[in-house]
Amino acid sequence: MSVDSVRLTDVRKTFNGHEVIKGVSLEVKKGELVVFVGPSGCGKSTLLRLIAGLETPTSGQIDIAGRDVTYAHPSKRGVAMVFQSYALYPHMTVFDNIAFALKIQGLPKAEIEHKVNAAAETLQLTHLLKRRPKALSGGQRQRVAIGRAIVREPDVFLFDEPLSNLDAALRGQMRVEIARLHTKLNATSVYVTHDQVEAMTLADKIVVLNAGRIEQVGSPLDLYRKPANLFVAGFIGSPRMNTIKARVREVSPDAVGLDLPQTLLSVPRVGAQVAAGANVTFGVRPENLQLAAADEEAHLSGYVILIERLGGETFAYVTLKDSEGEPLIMKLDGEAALYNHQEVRLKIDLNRAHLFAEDGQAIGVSPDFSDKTDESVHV
Amino acid sequence: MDAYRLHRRFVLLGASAAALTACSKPRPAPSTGRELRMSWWGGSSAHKATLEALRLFEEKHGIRVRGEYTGFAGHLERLTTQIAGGTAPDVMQINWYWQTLFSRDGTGFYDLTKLTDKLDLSQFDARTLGMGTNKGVLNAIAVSNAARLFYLNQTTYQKAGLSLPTTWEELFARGPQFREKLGNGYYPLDGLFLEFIALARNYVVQGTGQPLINAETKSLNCTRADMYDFAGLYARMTREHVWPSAQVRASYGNVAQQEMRPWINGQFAGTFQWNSSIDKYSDTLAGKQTLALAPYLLRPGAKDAGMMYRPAMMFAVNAKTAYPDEAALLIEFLLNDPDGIRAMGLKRGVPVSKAARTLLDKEGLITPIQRQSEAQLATAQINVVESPWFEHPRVRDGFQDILEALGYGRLSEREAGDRLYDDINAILHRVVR
Amino acid sequence: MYSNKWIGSLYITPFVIGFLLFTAFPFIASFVLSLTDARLQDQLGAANFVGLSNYTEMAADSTFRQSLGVTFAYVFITVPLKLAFALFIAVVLNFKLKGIGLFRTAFYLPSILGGSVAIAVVWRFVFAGDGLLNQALAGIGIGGVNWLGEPTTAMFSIVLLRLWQFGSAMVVFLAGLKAIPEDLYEAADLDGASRLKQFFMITLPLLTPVLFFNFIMQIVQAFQEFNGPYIITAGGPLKSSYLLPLMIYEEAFKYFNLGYSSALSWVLFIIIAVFTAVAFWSQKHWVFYAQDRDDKGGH
Repeated sequence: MSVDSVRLTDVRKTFNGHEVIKGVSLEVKKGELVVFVGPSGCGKSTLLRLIAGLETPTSGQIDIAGRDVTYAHPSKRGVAMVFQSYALYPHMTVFDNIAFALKIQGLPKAEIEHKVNAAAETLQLTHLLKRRPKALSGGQRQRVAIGRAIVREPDVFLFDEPLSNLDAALRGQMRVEIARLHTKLNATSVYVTHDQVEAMTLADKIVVLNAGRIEQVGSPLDLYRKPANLFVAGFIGSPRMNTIKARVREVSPDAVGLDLPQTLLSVPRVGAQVAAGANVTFGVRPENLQLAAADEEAHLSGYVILIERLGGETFAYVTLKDSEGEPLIMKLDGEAALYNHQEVRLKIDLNRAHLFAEDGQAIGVSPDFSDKTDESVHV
Repeated sequence: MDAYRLHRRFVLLGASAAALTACSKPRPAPSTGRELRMSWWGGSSAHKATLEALRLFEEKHGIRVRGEYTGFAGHLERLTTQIAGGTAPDVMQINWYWQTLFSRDGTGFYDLTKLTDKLDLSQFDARTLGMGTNKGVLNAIAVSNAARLFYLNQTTYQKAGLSLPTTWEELFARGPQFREKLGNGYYPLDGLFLEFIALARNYVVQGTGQPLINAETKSLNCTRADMYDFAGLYARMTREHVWPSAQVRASYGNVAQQEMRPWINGQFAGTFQWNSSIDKYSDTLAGKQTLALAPYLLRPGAKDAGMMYRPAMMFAVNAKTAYPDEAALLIEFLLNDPDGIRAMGLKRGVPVSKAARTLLDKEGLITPIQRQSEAQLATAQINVVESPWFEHPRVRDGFQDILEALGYGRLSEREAGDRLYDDINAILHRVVR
Repeated sequence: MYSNKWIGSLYITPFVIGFLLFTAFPFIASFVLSLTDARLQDQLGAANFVGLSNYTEMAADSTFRQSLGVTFAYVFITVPLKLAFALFIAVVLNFKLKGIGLFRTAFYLPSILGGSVAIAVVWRFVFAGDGLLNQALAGIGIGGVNWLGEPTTAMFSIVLLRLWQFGSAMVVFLAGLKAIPEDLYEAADLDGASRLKQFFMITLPLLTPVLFFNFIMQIVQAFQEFNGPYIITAGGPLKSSYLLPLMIYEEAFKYFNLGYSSALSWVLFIIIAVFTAVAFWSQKHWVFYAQDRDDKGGH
């Protein structure tokens, strides 16, 4: 009936009396690349291992390709995993590493050779087949690990932070390769990372996890445009969103009036459910702040305290006047003329602003995004 | 920086100095506080008695004696190493045959005739002194003379309601009687191979009337038939349950006879042991068990008692001692002085020194069993003087290997006899010099 | 002025002196002695140079041949058994169970007690005809065995004395096992390999360096076993447990044949050296050394 490759139903996991996964339910469609993302200790690796069968849930159910595999042995789930440390057998050649699972299955030699060579070709490993892992570079080892997974033709691929052990330059390269591979094989994949850039670029769907719970599930842009709560808002997007405490002055069907320390704002909002006088958090991303020209109206003013120049872009840290809060970060052009201690006036793109209630939940959406398909799941 | 370097230097020099002083040889004792070293072996009662004697010696003469004492196992090895290394003590207790190892030419030990002003040699008879003389040099003084006699566990024999055997045939009869009356674990006599070899030697010599070993011809002083008798004695005694079989004895592992459990609880009810060290064996008996001296077994028509009567242990003085006079004083004290005699008592057997014997006899210090043993020795016909080569390790082991093979059924009686005759002769040819 | 080199040399002189005195000198001296007919109780000056006659005598000595055979049998039985047993226990102790630390200590304890003289004396009692082992067997209805009194079983008690000290080899194996990354087993689980297959295809190959180390250590020690035969069986019965070190001892200290004994000990040395050399040469065929696998994307 369903085209779900993986389905988790209210999965819980307790380690030593400590509940690490607190009732997670989600689906992964066939051919999707789903990314689990979240801070350290949020349980994303645990969740992956539960799917792999390396851990057993304390309660709940796991289905893969329509079969209940909650208690099935890892090798009988139709999954293949790429480990963070690659887990290559150091005493075997690349060929033997990739062929290992097939040998265990007892496939005839000719077939094994055929499959391994095919995988090696896909990953450009053909010239390395006779080498041992210690004679390979990090990127090559990673490809062997992927090859080992591919050759088993699993229903689901599992990736456990595969790029964490690589240096920055290689990471970018491998990311592209993984994306290409996914397109070519159209393989259902579950990908775990703590790096939100990888999440944003690779995922069809992102699952944001925090302390064992799902915060939000949605496409990368959905999460960017319409974060369901403060946590997701702060996690997705780099540098992180700026937040300012504010008070609701008035509410109308298409806008919310706010009392900020320095100014009064009217934020366009649709579907806002909040009462006047409520304490809220106002959020604006660094890329939605600009310097107001001398003749333009400005929302905020402050002093520059730190400038980070990356060449292609510049990040300026601005403390607001009469405020003890965190400095705001704003993203400017690489050539922006700015100096430390400069007094600046800031303009906010209110159509891209965000609003969060006292409990952290988002209040309404920007009218620009209100008609986009929303797959957000609020927990 | 300089202060640091200086500090290191001083620490290093200080440590080197400390190490060097630790390595330095002990200075010889100043003449006012003379110190002798003496070594001996024995059981714990022998150690206690000797240490007491040394204490009295120090009180009397003002010379301190450091005692170095061990059990018998390994003592020879230790002494040999010391002599070879030049660290031997001033006074040493030695076994009679060790003279062939250390002083065949008489120069291995100090010449005691040079110390007659301190040591009274008149207390010792000529035969005894002769057994300590090598190439005309008196190397060692016998402490006591001894021979192996039959000591049986009185308590066990009484339990079986049997009398102590008086002839060889009666001894053979005791075997089945023990098995019947007391069970399979009981034997009328026991000993290591060492003891059996001595027993069998006595048996053969009773027949030949000659020492078993001829050092001149480097061969056995008997016929092949005598060796058949030798092997046959072992076969018969183990077969007829008189003596525990090799397998039974070996099952206890490498243990001294008096420390074996069956000896301690009276199951192995006899030993063919030196009268001078019999205390060691009665000491370990459990409870109130007692040993009794059995009549000495003689073959009908025996030409000689066949006993190997020789010094049980001797005192010798280190050829290179720094204190020859003091060493002589010590030996004189231990063997002839009333205080020394009393302190040592019978721990080294009945002393051979006339003075000691008289004193102990007068003061009633000679135990009944020792008195009986001496009496038995006095009346025995002992004319044969055995060659010390009989106790050479290779000769002893030669006998033992063949008997062991016989015991384990690897050789027949006749083969064992042939091997004894051929192999022992070959060994004697090789080792006698 | 004092230089660092001078101070450095001074610091190592104690070791150098000790090495020269207690290792180098006896080593060379024993070889020289083996070419003489030295007797233990004589002064060394009385010894005569006899060339290789001690060694040729050895070739004709049936006791030596028997001792050699017994020694080889002992080594070839004990070393594989001990390694296998130590490995087995190490694998068992590698599981994460409650209280596993207690078991690890318990299994290691015999190693601390070792095979000293005291333990050998205890062993002698355990294996005596009326000893602990037979008493235990009687308790479950099996008749007593003459462990020490029969040539076939006497060796067994000596072998067991070494086997029971498997603790040290076990601890080294444990360390080796723990060095194998957990995720290799997880990957193998996913690939469908059974526990047994994982042991033979992953654990064992990656343990070969540790196995090699233990193998060398055990071989060298086994050839030098002395306490057992000396205390428990005196080499018997019928020389069935007459290991070469015991023969060397007896030749020197019982028969005072210092020259011959030195020759024997050199033969033992050469045997051990040959075994070790062959083992080292064979390394490249079966020992897998993993290089440092730490990398951040390049080599």
